This record gives sequence, structure tokens and C-alpha cells, in this order.
Amino acid sequence: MQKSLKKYFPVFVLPVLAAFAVSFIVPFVTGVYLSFTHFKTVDSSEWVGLANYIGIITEDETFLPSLALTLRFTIVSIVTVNVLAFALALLLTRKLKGTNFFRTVFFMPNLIGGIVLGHIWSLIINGVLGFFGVDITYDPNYGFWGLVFVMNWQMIGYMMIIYIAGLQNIPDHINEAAAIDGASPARKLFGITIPMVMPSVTICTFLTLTNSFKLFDQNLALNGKAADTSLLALDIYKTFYDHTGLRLAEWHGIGQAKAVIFFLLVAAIAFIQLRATGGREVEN
Amino acid sequence: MASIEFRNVAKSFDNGKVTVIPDLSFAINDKEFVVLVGPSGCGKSTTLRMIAGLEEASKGEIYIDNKLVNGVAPKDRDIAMVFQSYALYPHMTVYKNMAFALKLRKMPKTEIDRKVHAAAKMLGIEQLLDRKPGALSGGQRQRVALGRAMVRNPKVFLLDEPLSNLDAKLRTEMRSRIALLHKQLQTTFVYVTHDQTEAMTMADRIIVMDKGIVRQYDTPQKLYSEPADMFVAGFIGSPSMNFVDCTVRKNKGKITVDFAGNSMCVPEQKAKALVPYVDRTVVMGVRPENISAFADGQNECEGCVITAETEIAENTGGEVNVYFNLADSRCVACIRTEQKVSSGDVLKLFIDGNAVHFFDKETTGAISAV
Repeated sequence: MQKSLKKYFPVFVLPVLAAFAVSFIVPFVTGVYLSFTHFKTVDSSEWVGLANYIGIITEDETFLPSLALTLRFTIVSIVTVNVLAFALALLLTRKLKGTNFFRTVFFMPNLIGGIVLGHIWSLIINGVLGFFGVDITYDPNYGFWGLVFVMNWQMIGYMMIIYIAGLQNIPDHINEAAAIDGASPARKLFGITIPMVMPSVTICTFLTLTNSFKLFDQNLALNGKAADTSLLALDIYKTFYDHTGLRLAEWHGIGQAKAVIFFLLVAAIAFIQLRATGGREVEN
Repeated sequence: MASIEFRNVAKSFDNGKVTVIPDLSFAINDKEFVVLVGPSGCGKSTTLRMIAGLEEASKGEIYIDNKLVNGVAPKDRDIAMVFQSYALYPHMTVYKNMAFALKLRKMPKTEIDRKVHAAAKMLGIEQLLDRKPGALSGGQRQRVALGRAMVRNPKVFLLDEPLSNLDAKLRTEMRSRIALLHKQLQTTFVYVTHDQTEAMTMADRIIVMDKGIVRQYDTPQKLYSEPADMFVAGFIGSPSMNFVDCTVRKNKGKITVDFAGNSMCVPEQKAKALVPYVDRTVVMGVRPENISAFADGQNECEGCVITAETEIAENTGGEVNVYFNLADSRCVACIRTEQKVSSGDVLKLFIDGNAVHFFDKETTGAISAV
């Protein structure tokens, strides 16, 4: 069995490997190469060494502020999305009427695409701010909290489903044993329930972290026009497309260098996150 | 240390649509080891959970230590419970599992440490205190669960089928350990099981339940020798009691029972109770161990000799379980014999007349002299 499977190994693996190489590895490697060049198109590049990376600091004024904004946004989103999603999950795993209905309702925003969602909320938020004669671009705080709100609105339902699954995995007897042991509701929550849903917490924190860090569509649609509320992905996009003129090739190079740094950041965060929370998961 | 009393307790689920326990009353004495036994779905676990406070009684009153506990939270009932699934906290070490309840009561750390170590020593799990439940075997987990209950010095120990997840050998070992624990702790134990062997070997008294009703509440010996009805008679003892329809006759002042062409002379003290049943059909119950291989010269007056064709013979080592048909009933006899018995063999068996039971065919209740 093993032997005959081995014989067919290339037949099964090659198509996927080829697709993966063409659509992922080749562009990725090309991208890394281009970050060391000035280029207008992929085949008109000129090697410049580390100039683009230095340029991010010296030429570009938006990268570091948008990195700071992204970090702030990510931290706030992780906390709000997870706390609210977990609270909803706790509420909707009680034996109340209509829980299935509400689970569906809370999940639905997740089915709407980011661009559409961003535009809808941009209409609503600007509609409300219109009463005060301003719009979402008026103050960077408006844009920031608007983004946090939209992120929460979209992600909570999804995370809630993961938390509900985690909560339902806790055997009834464990809760009953805690009741007999005399654990108060707060003690039960922090001493029993949360440690037992640690696998869900890991998954949800990880998902919120990467999703917030990489957020693009909502940012573009909700407040893409504002100069000071661009998260990293939007900032990279703008570096590419908001510049015209003679230095276009240079800006492309800088944008490409930003993208490589962006990749390294996302990869590093994901790696650290997995290491940090993996240990707290319950071995059963 | 406490007594437990149920007064006309009823329990139903789904807003009264499903009644599990219609009307239950019993009392358990202080320091007694009582086993609730019965088939699946008979309401024994629900009864235990009502003592624990995990289920509220729909009707009636429950007393622990002569205090009404309806509406009292589980933690305030001073009980400890051991679950079938052990219900250990998987993210805590054995030590923390055992110390959890004490910590919640704000007991000093040195006191907690002393109690946990004392309990662990008693159960032989001292070397496991730093491990998590995931790293323990079933038997070890069970002992941790017992330890977690012990450290609290509860008034009442509740055990819900604690041994059913263990293999047969471990079950026997833990059975004696729990019985010993009861002696050492001098606390009231309420134990739920569907295994009549566990019930018989451990209990001071047994409550036999069926469909939410107490069929009989008595000592193991009494349940065995004087079952109240056919349900109890059939449930207690392994293999189960044989039931054979027979007709009561009066012959020259003597009471006999006739079945399948046999006629058995009923010993005097049992005969009295059968007088009202003359010429009627009753059910005779005979335990397999009260049927023996007939040896020539045995006193036939004390029982009845039957001939039986062996259907299947199971050799259990010391004894042979012989299955045969008698008056349309499938019967089994546990006989001690040196000879090899195989299917088709015709045996002469002796039913011990002093050990038979009679039951009313309609009410299934035992017919006994009052």
C-alpha cells in the first residue's frame, strides 16, 4: 500500500505544487527582488540595493505613522472583538428562547464583503456626522473609531460562533462539579470556563490579529480619502497608486519594500502568537 | 454526617410533560451506605442529582440533616459528588483539582496542603499531585475524583456510577476501596449504579428503583432472600431468578404446586400463604443456585426432581450454568458437577423447595405468610 502510494506521489502533488509555485512562490520571490529595485513594470527594473528600505524612513512620511495606527487599531480590535464575541457567546449558550435566531443575526454581517460594508457604514456614519456639519475625514479619531466599529460589527459574529463551539465543548459535569465546589459565577468564568476555551481564544485572537493587521477593503471604502487614517495595507496601496510623475519607479520600489516589511511583520506576529498561547491550551 | 429524607418528591421535565419520578419517599440514616440501583432510566441518577441540588424537585420536600434543602444551592448543601465521567478540571493539576473547593472557602494554605496530602496518601495518589488529569489512567482519575470529594469533609458523599468507566478488574479493586473509605470516613454515602453486584457488595441498604418508584428498600440479604416482587427478584442475583408458572393444588391436606408434569410438595411455612391461591396459577421463582444436580438417595420431599434437556452449558470454572426449558420458560441452573455437561444432555435436577419464592401472577408481588 505504502509503496504503490509512493509511486503516485508526483502525480498527485505536482499539479498543486505547480499551481502554488505559479500563483504564490514566483510572485513572492519576484516581489522580494523588486523591493531592491526601482521599477515601473516587472520587467523594467533597476537594481538599487537597500535604497528603497532607507527611502521608507527618509523619503516617505506615512509609513511609521500608519504602522503606529495599525498597531493601535489591532490592539483595540483584538480586545473589543474578543471580549464582545465571548460575552455574546456566553449569553447565547444559555438556555434562552431565540438563541438560534440571534446567533444567525449576529453572524450575518460576516457574509457581506468588506468594500460593501465599508461603503454602507460610511453612508451611515457620514449621515449622522452630517448633522454636525462634518464627515468622517474631519478628525483622525472619527476614522479610527469608525474602523474599530466596522471591524467589530463584522468580526464579532464569526468569533462568537467559534466561542460558542468552545463553550459547548465543556462537559456539563465540569460545570456541575464547579457548582458543588462552590465557585461563584465570576470564579467559574475565570477559573474554569475561560481556561477551558483557551483553544478558541487562541484561534480567535490569531484571526482578529491577522485580520486587523491586514485590514484593507473596509479602510479603503470607509475612509480611504482621509490622509491620516490609512492602515498599513492601505498605505502601501497609496504609495503605489497615489504617486505620479518622474519618481514613479522609485515610489514603486518603496511601496514594494513596505510590502516586504509588512509580510515580515505579519509572519512574525503570527509566529509569536502561536508560541505564546499554544502553551495555555488544555491538553485533554 | 447527616441523614437524608425524601417526602413525596416528584420530578418532571419539559414543563411537566415527562414525569421521571411520580412520588418518591424514603429516608437514609446518618453514616449509612445506601445504593440506588435499577435499570437505565429508572430515575436513580435524577434522585441523586436532586440530593445534590443539581436538579430541583418539582414537588415534595427533601431534607438533609433534618433541614429542608429545596431551593438551597448545591454548594450550600455540604455534599460532595463523584461523577461517572470524573469531571476533573482538565487545566488544573491533581493538587489544584483537590484544593479548588477548599481555596474557594478561603481555607489557610497550610491547612489545604495538609488535607490534600492526607487524602492523597489515603488514596495512594501522592506521586500524581503535580500531574494533570490528561496524564492519568481511568483508575487514577477516579481516585482523584474521590480525593476531591474527600478533602471537603462533606456531610454526604454522592457517587454517580463512579466505576462504570473502569475495566472489570479495576472495578472490583475500587469497589473495596470505596467500601473501606466509607468505614474510615464515617459519612453518609449515596451511591448510584445499575450493577447489582456493586450494590450487593457495598451497601448497608439498597433502594431498588424502577420507573421512578421504589420497589424495595432493604438490606442486601433481605433483598436476596425476601424480594418484594418479581422485579426485585429478577434484578438482584446473577444469573437472574427463574420464573415458572405453576398451579397450586390441595392434596390430602397438603399444598403442592404443579408445573410441566411435575408436582412439588411445598414446605409447611410457605404452604400457608398459598392456601388462598388453591387451583389458581402463581409464579414460582427459583434462583439458579438453588437448583442442583440430583443425587440418588436425596430427600425428594424437600423439593422436586425434574428432568431437563440442556440447551447450552456455560462452564464458569467452579460451576456450570445449564440453560434449559421448563414449562415454556427459559431457565438456568448453576450446578456444581465434576462431569462435563454439553448441549443435549438430559440431566436430573433438584429444585430446593425451601428456597423457592411465589409471586402473584397479576400483581407480581411476593406471596408470603403474614
